[in-house]
Amino acid sequence: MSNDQRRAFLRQAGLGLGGAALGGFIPGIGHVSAATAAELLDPLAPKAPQFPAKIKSVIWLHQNGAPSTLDLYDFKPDLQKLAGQPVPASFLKGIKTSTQGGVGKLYASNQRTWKQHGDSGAWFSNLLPNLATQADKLTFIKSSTTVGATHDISILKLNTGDLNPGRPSLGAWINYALGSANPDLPSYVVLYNGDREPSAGSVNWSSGFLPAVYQGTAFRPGDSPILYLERPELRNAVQQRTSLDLLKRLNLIGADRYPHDTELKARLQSYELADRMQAAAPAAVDISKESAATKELYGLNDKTSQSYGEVLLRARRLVEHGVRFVQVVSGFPEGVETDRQSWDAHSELDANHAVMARMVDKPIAGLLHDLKERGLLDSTLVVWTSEFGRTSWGESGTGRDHNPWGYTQWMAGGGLKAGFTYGETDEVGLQVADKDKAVDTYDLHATVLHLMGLDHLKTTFIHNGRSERPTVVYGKVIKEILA
Amino acid sequence: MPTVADFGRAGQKPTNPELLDHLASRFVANGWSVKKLHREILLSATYRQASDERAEVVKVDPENKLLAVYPRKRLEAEVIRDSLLYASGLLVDKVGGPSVFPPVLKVGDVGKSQDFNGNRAWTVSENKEDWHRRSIYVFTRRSFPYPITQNFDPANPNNPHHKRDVTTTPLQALTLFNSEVVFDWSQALAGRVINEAGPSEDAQLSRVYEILFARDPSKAERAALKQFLADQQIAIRQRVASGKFEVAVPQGLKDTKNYDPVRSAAFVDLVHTVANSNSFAYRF
Repeated sequence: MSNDQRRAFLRQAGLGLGGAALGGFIPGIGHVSAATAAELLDPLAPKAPQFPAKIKSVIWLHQNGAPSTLDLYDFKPDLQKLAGQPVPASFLKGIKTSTQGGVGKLYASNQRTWKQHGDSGAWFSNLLPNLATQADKLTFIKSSTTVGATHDISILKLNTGDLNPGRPSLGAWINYALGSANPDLPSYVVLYNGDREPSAGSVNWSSGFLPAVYQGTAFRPGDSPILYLERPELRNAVQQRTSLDLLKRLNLIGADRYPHDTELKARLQSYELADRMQAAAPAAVDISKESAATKELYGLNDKTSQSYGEVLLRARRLVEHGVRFVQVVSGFPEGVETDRQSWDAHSELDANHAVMARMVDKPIAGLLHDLKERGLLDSTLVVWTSEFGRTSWGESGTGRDHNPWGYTQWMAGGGLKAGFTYGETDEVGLQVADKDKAVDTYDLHATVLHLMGLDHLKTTFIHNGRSERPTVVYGKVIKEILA
Repeated sequence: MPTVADFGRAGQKPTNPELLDHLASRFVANGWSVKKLHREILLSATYRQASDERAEVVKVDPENKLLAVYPRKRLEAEVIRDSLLYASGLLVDKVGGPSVFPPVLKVGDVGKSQDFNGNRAWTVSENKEDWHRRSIYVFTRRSFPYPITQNFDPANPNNPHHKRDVTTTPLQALTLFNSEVVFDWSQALAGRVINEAGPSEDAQLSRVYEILFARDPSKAERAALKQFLADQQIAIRQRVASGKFEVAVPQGLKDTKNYDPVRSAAFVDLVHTVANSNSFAYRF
């Protein structure tokens, strides 16, 4: 292939994204013909998927701090039997146990009871009585694995596919490839409960090397979710309108001199969009008009689950309004002690998980039930995920350490085999049993993209001379769980 | 030369190589002085041309590769903030020192530090002078980018890159148009204009345009501005009549003899709107 051919090939490959070429000058792609430049007007204009999508939206439930899935879904009778004994050497083969706590004795809480639920017979512990009623909607991945043993870097990998900041998050890739389905709202929204933003921060919803327009917008708790959404206190609606009218008039006078300049028109348009967003965004997250039954369903009547329930109710409303990607970071209920402010139970796991499980159990069950009732579950994907799992051995006698070698995640929604379990861990729940079935974060990303109608190998962006994709140089779609 | 980060085989070729060679040899001949190079470019007849679109240029070179007209540029994130502060007369042009944490939501009590919305990552600087320092001195926190500039495609501190993107979004419009912080700067700008131009409406309108765009408003612009002042005063009077007496007033007024709060509030809205217009956000 000559250099010219190679260059032309790369250019075309870059343009293949989302099945629809962006036009004009695109960072990462370069100049393209003026014929397509009209689409440049709005970088968030909706674009067709590469093949028919199964789902329209994703609700990404990041369980911050890493829950022990050994205490929620992954029932291991042998672990109960061997509890209190050292970990048999055969189970430790192939892993580097350099985590802070060292390798302690196998641990099982005496407060845990287990039952199978639904037609699928999925196991749930007594920590998740409400979610258990939704068993047949879930697709478990019990052979999850990742890299790293420190929260911030593994959270980053979970969201962006890299251990260092700088890559776009999954939501940003989807936003880039598909654009917005509702121009009055940001199409990639981040929600959290608790009184402050998640500690790992905005690198987890960053657009990385993609243009900033594709980054997630963190919705603040409360009535005014976006910064600067409301006009200044001393300007009323009439003043706002006359001001916007003047702005339009001045911009049109200026635009006369540059009739072909689409960006100037786009900026003019952006002020009208902003004006509409000012009304649309608070309405989209306003849960005051939801029925008492719905509020009860999401656990709003219980102090422990209230804040997380409100966030999930908002997530459902955003999905109804066409938001493509809602990234929910679990926080903590109001007024709990500092060691109960995430799932990170290095000690007193029973007390920690009692609070955290109670916080999410009813809201998530309510969300799944509600989505189904409204006919939205077929077009939505709910992903229950965390940065890693927790070890089979105990730490400080009553807790568990970080485990990137084998843990459980689940998905629910369109395009998947519901009431299905893929993969398993070994007899004590430490490592993925069959390494060929291991599901890394890249595979999870590839599968989510596939359900959105995007091929992770063909969703590309040229950055610093390289054609980058969401799954770096890894990833495979988990075909076995697709319906 | 569209690919300044790649002079290799994957880069694109310059469109005006003779010009680049000429400038490069002049640069060397002038003792590698960047200042002299800037001066030569800025004083050239080419650079000083108006950038109005020309039909014949669009026809032969739609992407303006040959640079027959100036390639219009949006101000970068920091430049937008600094320019607004400079225009309003608030900019504190102090050099050096530790990073600062300007207010995010609104300009609070003077000298009282406060967390932003319970966010300990952003404790507002005690010293009011720090609120108006140049953006280069604003603290860069990767987990909490400064919201006033964040939506304007600033350099991402997590990434090495040679070039910034330019996007146009409603979130940018919300920041510039609705933020109490930016509105506060417009109140200062309104005060500065009135102080410098005196009571004459025409003089005030000219002064706003001189400060923001270094030119007089055109006939059409002046008519639009005057119409706006009349309409806005009616709107504000109606609001005051309905019992809401508080209005946004120009800051730092020296002469309050003929002070009319309604007219002044309308004038604040005017300068705020003009500062939001495309003429301010772009270099043409």
